[in-house]
Amino acid sequence: MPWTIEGAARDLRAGEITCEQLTAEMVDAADRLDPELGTYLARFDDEALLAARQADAELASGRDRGPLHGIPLGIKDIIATDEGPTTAQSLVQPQEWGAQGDGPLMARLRDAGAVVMGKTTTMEYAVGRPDFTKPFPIPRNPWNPDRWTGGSSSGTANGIASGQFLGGLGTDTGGSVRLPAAYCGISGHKPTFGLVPKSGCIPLGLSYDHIGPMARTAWDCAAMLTVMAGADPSDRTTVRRERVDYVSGLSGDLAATSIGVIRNQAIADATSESMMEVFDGAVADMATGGAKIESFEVPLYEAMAEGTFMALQAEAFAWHRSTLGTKWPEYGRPTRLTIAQGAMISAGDLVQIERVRQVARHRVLKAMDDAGVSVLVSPTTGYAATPFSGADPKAVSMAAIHTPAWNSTGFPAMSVPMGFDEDELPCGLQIIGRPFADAEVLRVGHAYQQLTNWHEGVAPIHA
Amino acid sequence: MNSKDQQSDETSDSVGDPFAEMRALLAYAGIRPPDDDLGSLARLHPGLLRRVERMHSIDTGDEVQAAVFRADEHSAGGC
Repeated sequence: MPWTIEGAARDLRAGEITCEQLTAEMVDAADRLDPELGTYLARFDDEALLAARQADAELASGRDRGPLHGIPLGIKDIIATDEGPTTAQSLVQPQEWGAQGDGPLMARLRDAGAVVMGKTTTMEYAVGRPDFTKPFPIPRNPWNPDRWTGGSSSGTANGIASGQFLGGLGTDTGGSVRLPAAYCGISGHKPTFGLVPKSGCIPLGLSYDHIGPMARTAWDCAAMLTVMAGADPSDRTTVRRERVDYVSGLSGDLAATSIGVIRNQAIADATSESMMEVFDGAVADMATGGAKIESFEVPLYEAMAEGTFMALQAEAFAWHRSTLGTKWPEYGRPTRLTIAQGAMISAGDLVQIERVRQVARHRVLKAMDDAGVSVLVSPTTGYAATPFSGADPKAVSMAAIHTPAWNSTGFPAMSVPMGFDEDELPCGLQIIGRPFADAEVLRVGHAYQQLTNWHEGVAPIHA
Repeated sequence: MNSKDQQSDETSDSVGDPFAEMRALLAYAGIRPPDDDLGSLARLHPGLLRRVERMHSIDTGDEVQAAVFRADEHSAGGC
């Protein structure tokens, strides 16, 4: 059975497998693995098999919709789909919210022939921590089920890593695509803010939210983003730009690529020795592959990271204010305490956070210009997947997540597997680019995956 | 007691009492959490204030004046 979208697309066209067989295998995998891994909140087995049969009929008749034709995807359950309700993994969320069905992004994926397997687990409203007090599955890591998947695109990540589908959608407000991608040993791309429409997705931080593709490889993410990208009138934050085929830009090599290696002390202080050794090895591999390596200090790095968390709390509070007042006990405790902190941030504070955000964004771009680098790299996280209990406090601190600064700037950023730590858990390499240079980020991620085989690692719990 | 006096009394009661301050702050937003949640939020508040102060200590000069509204025509919502 193929492991990647790229491999499945090839096998489907070679007649080695049908869309229906592929989907049926994924349904079988979910039957066996979902109860242990907590991947799904809702499965659409019948609808998926029907869509797969239609995809087969189209291919047989000569209609080929491209690389996503007949490809099984998992969709994070804060994104509405035609098949069923959107719960946001919450007892608060009104059932009727999801009745709006597919937004523009889901419609694009479906038009490209994707098969929707079901809605995947998250944390409540994409914030907080795994909550054992609520009647929802706890997403577990296929590399070690006593460890967390990372969040909040948890089920999408563990479903791909365990072979229950080949790709999927996550959302990323402070790192929620990149963090679970790193913890679960897959690839995940947070696009430039404004590249992918978010209509039909429950917001968390309105100006920090991004919907991104998750899959095993950068090639697969590029194939998904090619379909996903593009402005839509329903999302006024999207920007009209020329369409890009992100797959065609995957050159496969790093020659003449200048890479800035982020060496801020704040990252070093919140990263384990084991993770840093793996990261230094990844940088050495990129240099061997022809990249020019520069040391890089990100201006206002901590301010961007802290500003992201504060502003997203304020923005989330704006969305949840009325329901927090009437349904406080129905929210999970981690969720309500996180969002309520938004009430403690004044309007003046939020304006200053926004000013710092804009100044930082300009200073980072200038620093990239001055250094002559096209991308930056860092470990995605300071530590690998954390245990549900008894974790090192440093490993679960916000400082150990090296992703939120890039939600502040809105720059594209992806995580690709870069090796394993001392506990044999996956580690993620974060690649960050300039605004709307998603093709460059994906190109570097793909080229790194031509030099290494970390993305081919098989989790112990796998179909 | 007029409303001004009432406000003054509530303020004086809450000064120096993080628990009462938090209760008053959230009440303005229409939220009345139970005591255990109030206690947790009151403990989180000083850290949040420190982070906010760090934001205000950054010199943003005149590079930007405030959050920016763009009435351009390049976003999908434009004309």
